[in-house]
Amino acid sequence: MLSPTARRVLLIVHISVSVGWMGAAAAYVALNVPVLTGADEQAVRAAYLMMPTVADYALVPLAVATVVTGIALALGTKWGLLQHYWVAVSLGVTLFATAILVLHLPAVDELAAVAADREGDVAALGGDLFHSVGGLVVLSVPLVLNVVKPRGLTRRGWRVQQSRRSSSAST
Amino acid sequence: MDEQELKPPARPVWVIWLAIIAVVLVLTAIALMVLLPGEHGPGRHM
Repeated sequence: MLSPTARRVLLIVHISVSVGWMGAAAAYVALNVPVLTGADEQAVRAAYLMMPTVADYALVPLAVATVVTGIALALGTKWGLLQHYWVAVSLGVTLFATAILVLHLPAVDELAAVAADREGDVAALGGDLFHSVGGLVVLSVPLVLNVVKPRGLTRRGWRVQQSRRSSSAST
Repeated sequence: MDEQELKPPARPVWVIWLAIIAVVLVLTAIALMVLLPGEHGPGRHM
């Protein structure tokens, strides 16, 4: 178990990186605005060229940091990793979002490559709003679960609780 | 210890609803990939 100070520090880091991840996703949504509003071609090209930068240097590092600090926090506190449904579902949704993000990176690089080519037809690309808005919606699930912490023990959590009870009853 | 405590707890309702919503969304995404062709739309995955 983590000491109270270590738990607080880890919690602050976890909240910072996970909210930062959502902020970076919002910035990625904003990059789609010039594309969708039919801004001039220079602005559209610039937006596409910035997408891999935001993805590689903000979205991916913050996603990985969220997963790592979330797992460490769960394992180092009374909640455990797979003992409560809200923790298990948060972990599953976060891993899913991280996997989709990483798998989508080549497509983001392709969009930027078309925009970097002076002959490339950026008007035909159509933006990348689906993944960024979808990501924000998906990330709101663990956000709500982490704040509300709905009740519900998993079978594993129930077994751990039973063994704790029986060991405390025998002492 | 009563009999209730010996049984594992039932899965909460919110977990079941979340699972149903997740399955519907995943199936919708797969349907979009199959039905919408193109180089840059959802069909590019196919």
